[in-house]
Amino acid sequence: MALRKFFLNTWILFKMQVALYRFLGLFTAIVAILVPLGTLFLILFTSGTATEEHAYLLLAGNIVVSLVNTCITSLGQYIGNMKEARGFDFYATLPVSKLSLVFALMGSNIMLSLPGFIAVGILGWLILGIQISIGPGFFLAVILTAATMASIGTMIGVTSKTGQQANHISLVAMFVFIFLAPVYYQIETLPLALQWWGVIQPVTYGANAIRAAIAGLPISYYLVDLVILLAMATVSLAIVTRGIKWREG
Amino acid sequence: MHLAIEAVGLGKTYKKNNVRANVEINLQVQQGEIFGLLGPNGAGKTTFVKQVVGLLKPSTGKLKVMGEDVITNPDAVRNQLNYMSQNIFAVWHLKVREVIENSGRLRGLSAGEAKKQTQNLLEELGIEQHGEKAIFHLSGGLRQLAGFGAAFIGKPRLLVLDEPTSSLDVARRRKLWDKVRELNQKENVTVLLVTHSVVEAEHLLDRLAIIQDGKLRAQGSPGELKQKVDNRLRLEIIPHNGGLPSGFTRDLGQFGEVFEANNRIVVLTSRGTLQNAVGLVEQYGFDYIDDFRIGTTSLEDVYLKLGGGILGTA
Repeated sequence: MALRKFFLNTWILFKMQVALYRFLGLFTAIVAILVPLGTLFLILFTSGTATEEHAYLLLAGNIVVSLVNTCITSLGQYIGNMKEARGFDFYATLPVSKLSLVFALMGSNIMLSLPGFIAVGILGWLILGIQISIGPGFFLAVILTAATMASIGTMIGVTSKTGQQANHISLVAMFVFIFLAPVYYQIETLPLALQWWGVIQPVTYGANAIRAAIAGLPISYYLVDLVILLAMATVSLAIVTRGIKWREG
Repeated sequence: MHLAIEAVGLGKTYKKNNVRANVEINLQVQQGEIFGLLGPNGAGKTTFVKQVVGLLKPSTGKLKVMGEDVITNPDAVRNQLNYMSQNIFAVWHLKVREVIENSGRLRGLSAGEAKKQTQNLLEELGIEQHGEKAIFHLSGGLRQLAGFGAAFIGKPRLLVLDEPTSSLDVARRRKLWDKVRELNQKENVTVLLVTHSVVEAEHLLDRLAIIQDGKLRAQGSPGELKQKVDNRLRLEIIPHNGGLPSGFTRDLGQFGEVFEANNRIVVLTSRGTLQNAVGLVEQYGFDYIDDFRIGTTSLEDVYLKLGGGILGTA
């Protein structure tokens, strides 16, 4: 009964969050598409033609960029602004669990990444000439990566003192998670310090798993990445659920 | 009778700036009554309300809502109260109908029941024609009505309203007061209402507490508080443009304290001598006056005497 109520409340809150895109719609979709596409074009123009392996690296990297953009930057900024305007009060006085709200916020931001995914897929097919394989492993990798990213975005939002501070921190985080991590490159090609940094970064495992999944490799090939992502998602969700304060101190 | 709210030695000090927002509040709200917190801006009313609804953790004291400890069992409290906050920023993008309906669903109503109650509320609050508009497209008053709908849905045991009518016009304000009174009487809903409007307090409250500088200055029914301040009756005479006949004011003096305020002659008299004072007015004839009123001490008088601050009269 309690579990049914939890899922029902999460679904209702999810729909309430998704309704936001009714008004931001086109603009949100453009931003969600432009960030990964822009990065992809930049890399293609500076590095020339891509081998098949390089092409998968670029496409998987761009899917991760989509997730970072929506789940860290957009979500962090949204929560920061909502916190500043005391928007959580509305939810905090309703009989809903914090985890329901966190899941709803995550789910709606994963949905926001979809236009970016589709654009990247089409572009990969048209420009890079490769086929993307979409199976259960791909969705699992995306959801687990998104959950970890969204936890980070949520933490940025709830710990920032103002909406503006959340904006700044989430932009810095975006830079750290995209360019200082093995998103567009194999981890072995990075300097030693960044390799160590990459080991503790969820995007490393997210990019690995997504890359393998879209290349059509069997799930056993990237099972370790999925397990590490699952552990990271669980820990980060637990932290973020405790981090949202229904009450002031 | 059971208590809806029981605060014992309740206090709140904000650590950041060491401001004491509430100091030693001892207060009881009975189930089934409309209880008000009256006081000027920054008096500590909203701090108290946030403690009641579980948004703010008290620094000292104990607080029980519907028999449940707010600090140790906030979920049980949330299941029994509906709160209308001063802002609904979180749902600014939703349509009015969606805000009310989803609030009902999250409070456990079935889809059909939430839809039905939403439709009724939209009609009763006179905002049916705005049901499909997003909150951010509405004026402040209409937003407040939408917030009201979200607070009313689901038939709570305790309804907490924080300055609910501050942006409403007179007609809508009266409609809302009627709705609150109806919920209270028909459904036995306890209401905690924060206001700085004396008119609202006079119209709606069964009992009230006056808060200033975070401290509880007085509590009781409006009648009790008025008695505490001054139990004399008040005869107000509004003279005609031509003024009053000579000797009239002097003669009134034998029935009590007489003074002039806002172009009115005010006589503070005892219950025993009021009839004689009215008789004197009759004797001089009604040609000299536009109007006259008999009343008790106003809540504003009470507040000014007990609270000493500035109140709204809207």
